[in-house]
Amino acid sequence: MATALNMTMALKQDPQTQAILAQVKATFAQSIQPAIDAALRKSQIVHFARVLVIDDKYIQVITEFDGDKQQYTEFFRKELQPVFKVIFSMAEGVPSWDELNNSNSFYKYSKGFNVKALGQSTSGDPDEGWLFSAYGDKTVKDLLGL
Amino acid sequence: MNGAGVDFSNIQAVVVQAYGYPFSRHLLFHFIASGPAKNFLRELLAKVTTADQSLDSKPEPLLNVGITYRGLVALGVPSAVLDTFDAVFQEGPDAGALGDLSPESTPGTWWEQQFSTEDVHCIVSIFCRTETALASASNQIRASATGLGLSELMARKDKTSLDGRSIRGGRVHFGYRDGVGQPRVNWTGSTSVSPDPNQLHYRHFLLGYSNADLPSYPSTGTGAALVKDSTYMVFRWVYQDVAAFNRFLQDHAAGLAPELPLDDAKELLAAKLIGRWRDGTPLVLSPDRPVGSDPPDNNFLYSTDPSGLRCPFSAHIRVTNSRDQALDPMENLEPFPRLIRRGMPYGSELNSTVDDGADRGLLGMFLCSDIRRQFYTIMSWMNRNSFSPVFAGNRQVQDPICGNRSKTADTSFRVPASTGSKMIPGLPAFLRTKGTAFFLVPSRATLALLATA
Repeated sequence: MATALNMTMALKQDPQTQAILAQVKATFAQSIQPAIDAALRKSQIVHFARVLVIDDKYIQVITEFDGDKQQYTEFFRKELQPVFKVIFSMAEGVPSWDELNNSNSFYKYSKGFNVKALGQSTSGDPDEGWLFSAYGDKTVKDLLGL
Repeated sequence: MNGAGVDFSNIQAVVVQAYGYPFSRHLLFHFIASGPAKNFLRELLAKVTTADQSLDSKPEPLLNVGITYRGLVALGVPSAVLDTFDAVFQEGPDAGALGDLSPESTPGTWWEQQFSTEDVHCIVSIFCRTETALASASNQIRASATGLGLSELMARKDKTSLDGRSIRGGRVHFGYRDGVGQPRVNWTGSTSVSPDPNQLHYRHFLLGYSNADLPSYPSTGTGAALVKDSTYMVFRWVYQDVAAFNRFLQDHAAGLAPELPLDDAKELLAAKLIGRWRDGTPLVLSPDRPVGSDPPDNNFLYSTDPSGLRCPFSAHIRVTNSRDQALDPMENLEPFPRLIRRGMPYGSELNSTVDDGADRGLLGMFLCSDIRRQFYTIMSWMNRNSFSPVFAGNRQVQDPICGNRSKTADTSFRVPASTGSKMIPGLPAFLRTKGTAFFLVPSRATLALLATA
């Protein structure tokens, strides 16, 4: 069964951060989205992904991927470093990127910002909420015939 | 024993070598207050076996100690230092990452429900050549703990200890010779390139030497200084269903090799499940028969068996150490995961296909410097064989011995053959988790600091 990542971070409200946010929103489709697309395609583990901004107050990174968080947050740090560097720089309660940019801190903060979905995991994992899947436990590799 | 790179007098001996003693006992303790707990550690400091001690004369008891994250908290280690520890160590065992999700293996059932994993603060592991010595040594430790007001956690309902017993001359309950495929560690830290794929830098196992290639945590500062020469240990209490295993061999051996006498076919199936004959001979080197070499040859690569005709892709040793076999792109992001394995069977032997109701299995100790990268990765590979292109089109299968048989797993075992693959259906759950805890196995200096600071 895929794992859901529902990273939800409060955005700093200072003018400098809001300016960076405006820039991210304006350039996402042209400059950020292709980089994420390429990395996720290469991973062969991510089913779906999107980034949401809510009222300029919260940013969410939501994905469904194969495997567990312990193993795959490291993929996000290594392969999408510029993206997460910008996102975390806008978030409240996050240390500097120098402090964050290691497997231990990145895992710790990513997990800390993850919001557990309501309900019970169909796999029985008590740390996970409910995630519907129309195709059961099929992985990206299964679906792509890899 | 000397190591030019690391100070063996500072490292607990269990990290460097397997003892080979036939009796072990693991005592679990809960610290009530930091003062008495530190006094207990001070007493252990004089008893702990370090890697510089010669075991040639077979001294006993040999003693090792581990402390959980909650134990470090109870000892009063400052939170600023604790925060720098490996986040996975801080969290403790994660049922999802371990695959312990079935009703029989879920953490709520661990330790026979006598206590929770969070209660465990310290483990004292004693290894002896005789039961008499084991009893004497454990009585001393218990008297010390009791005198200092520590609480011993009894993991069994019948209040007996977690005791390991060597069986069948160093084999495990399923009949396989144990400890064959241990990683070879370069304790000198030499940077010269070795052609031996098993030659690993000690950074894979020791804390306090973190670098960009092999990070471990704490990585810098006070924390890194505190844990130098320590290691992390995953302690696993695992029940083994020997009767189910024997029935599986009985029921499916003839289908695998109808041309062989049944007993020979059972041995072949047992070998295909793990990747070695039960005497330790690797299938890659000898696919038709065990050769009985002592120690078994461990120098082989899977490039000589690209189709799995000798050793099936899902065989236990090919999953846990795929050597030169290609990995999927995601799995190449970090150094290849290896573990030092210690441990011993517990419980009486069973040679029947009918269960006698007795508890038996393995008390496993898995040592590494990064629980996430090493232990959890191997667990995930065992629970879903989807880490290498060799599994293309067949990625829901599991390690036939250790897979957790999750609800959606493919429980068939694929055995490639020159005449086409044979699919053996219905792999049972051979294992059940009865307890797991993560420990810091402190160096002598770390133990001294924890006992005094």
